[in-house]
Amino acid sequence: MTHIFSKRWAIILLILTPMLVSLACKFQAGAPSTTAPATDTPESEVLTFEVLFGPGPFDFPDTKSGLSDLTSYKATLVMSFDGTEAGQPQQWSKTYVMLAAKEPATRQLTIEKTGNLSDLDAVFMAESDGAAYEQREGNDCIAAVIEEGNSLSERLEPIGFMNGVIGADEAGNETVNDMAANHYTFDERAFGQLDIAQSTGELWVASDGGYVVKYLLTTKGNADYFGEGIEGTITWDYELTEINQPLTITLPDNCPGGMVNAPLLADASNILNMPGILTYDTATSLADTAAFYQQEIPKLGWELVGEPSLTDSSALLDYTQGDKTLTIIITSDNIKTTVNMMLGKSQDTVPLP
Amino acid sequence: MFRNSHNSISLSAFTDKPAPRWHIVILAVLLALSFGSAVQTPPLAQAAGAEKRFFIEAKKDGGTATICVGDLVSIHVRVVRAQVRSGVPFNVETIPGVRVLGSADFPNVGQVTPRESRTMWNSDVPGSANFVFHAENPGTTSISFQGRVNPSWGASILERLINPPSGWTSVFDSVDVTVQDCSYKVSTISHFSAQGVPLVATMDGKMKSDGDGHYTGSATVNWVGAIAVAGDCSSVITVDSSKVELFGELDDDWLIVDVTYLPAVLTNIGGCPGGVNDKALLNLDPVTVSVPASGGAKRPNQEIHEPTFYSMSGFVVITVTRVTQE
Repeated sequence: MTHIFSKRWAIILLILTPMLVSLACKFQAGAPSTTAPATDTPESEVLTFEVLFGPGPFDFPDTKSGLSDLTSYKATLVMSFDGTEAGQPQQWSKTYVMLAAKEPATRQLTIEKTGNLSDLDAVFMAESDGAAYEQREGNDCIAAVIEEGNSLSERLEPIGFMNGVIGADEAGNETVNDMAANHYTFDERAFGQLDIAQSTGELWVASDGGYVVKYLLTTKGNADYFGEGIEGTITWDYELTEINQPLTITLPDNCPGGMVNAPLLADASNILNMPGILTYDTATSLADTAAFYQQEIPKLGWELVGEPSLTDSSALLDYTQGDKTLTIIITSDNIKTTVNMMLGKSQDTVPLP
Repeated sequence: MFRNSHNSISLSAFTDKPAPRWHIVILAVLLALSFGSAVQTPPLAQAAGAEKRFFIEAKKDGGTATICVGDLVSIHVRVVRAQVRSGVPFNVETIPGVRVLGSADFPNVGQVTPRESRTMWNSDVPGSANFVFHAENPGTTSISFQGRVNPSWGASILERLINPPSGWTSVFDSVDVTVQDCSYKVSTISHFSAQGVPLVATMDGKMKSDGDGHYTGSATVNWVGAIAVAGDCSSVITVDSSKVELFGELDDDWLIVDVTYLPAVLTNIGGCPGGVNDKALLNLDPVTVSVPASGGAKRPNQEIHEPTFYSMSGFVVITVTRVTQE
């Protein structure tokens, strides 16, 4: 009599079947489940699925961690791509350099670009004295008040473009950029990108401070990762240097002055405060207003240039501090006194005869 | 029935006679699936109890700055995958290659271009899709964005084989934009000096939109006279109020402002022995400045031209501020 399954086959099936059932249950638990969208109102679909992360013991989900505790730093990120798009060779590179200081709050970001990019103009951005500056290659420098939610650190912190890692492996301790750092290695699993792209990466985190000192990443992928028609390799090279060192940002010569830092009289009204200029009205007499500023402005480090020009109906006070100038013009029409203060640079000043 | 001698040989250690083909097939499948399950290293941070979600985030440049008719507003859209624990997203991961569609719910207020963009690492903000909203008329509109995420981001190859996802995942976000009719306030303070005698001229004017990015207006220039001292005597210099014409033109993100002064009448009431009263016509240099469309200030040089005695050098502080029209 021939049995369909021999004893040994039965044993093999007995061992393997539970494993198969277990596997099926795991995938079923992790299977995507979607909520049906409402008929007319679009809504995001929520997927619940498990993701395979790296096997190592180190997690670092927030790449900006620890940066805000530093008094100053220079962050450099070089992104490069080499591949094809719609079958055509595609190569480009972008270099972001961010200088940041805490006190006083100052930032500068430059972006240099090369290769197959639609816009190769270099970009300069800065924040200083409450004003935000931007200049694109060949154009004038623009200054504006820093808008809430629109600061450089919120929008364009270089390390913020890079993903955090889960399950990285420890790779010892090293000194990097003059900082003691813990070294970690990882692959695409650290991003939960198994089967999406192939990545190799290294991360150095400051032993004291917990911020990223260096981050290297190479990712190779196809349309599943880069999107339809694009495949190739993208590399990221990030370094943090000049940590807690004095730094200076240099605004282009044609940038307007920053926010005017000067006291206002207590009854100031119709206040206009924008980069480079501060104006307001007051009921205080012209003479008392002029006396107020002659007393207060030198306390802020400004030096009077020449003699003040004072008449019954106008006053002109010129001050300098380094390469900056502060011009105060006070006029009165017997109803109100108007104060105009303008911040500029030495080359903007017309010497008074 | 087909035979495979290799398989027959490999299985010969387990059976007294060659196994049937279908046994081999079943065994091969079971082995593959079982080993596949076994070799998957349990993830350290397996999100037991946590879920992964896709999010789309649209941010417009300029923060809360006023948007006026004629403005071009950049909007950056990012699609991310994040773990969610107790309703809080963390371990946020940017997803490249996502197609994003953008449109204004009320297109009469403004248009969004392009219609479709892709999240790219080479964008202005790496990993984002770029859009521009063209503000055309006063009003409020939502700008809606829909991103479609490749199923490969939601499941492994094996998972896709065993339990294929229903399709591409859609995510939605919107930003509200209010466009206002705006005009420009132009203020100038001109300061001149000659031989120790100062003259100040102030002007507060307004330019209203004529359409197509053109603005016009006019204003009065008020002069602050001076006393000219010569030894033990002095004379009083006064200047009558004069007029100024204002022209403005938007050029992308810049406003070009022309300020043209009409002549002003100066009167010198002589107080010195032998002095005479005289009048003169003062011609101020016109001023042209470029400031950001959102407003700004400049301090160019300026001169008064007068053919006999009253030519003076100086400067003008010109301040341009954008205001919403009442």
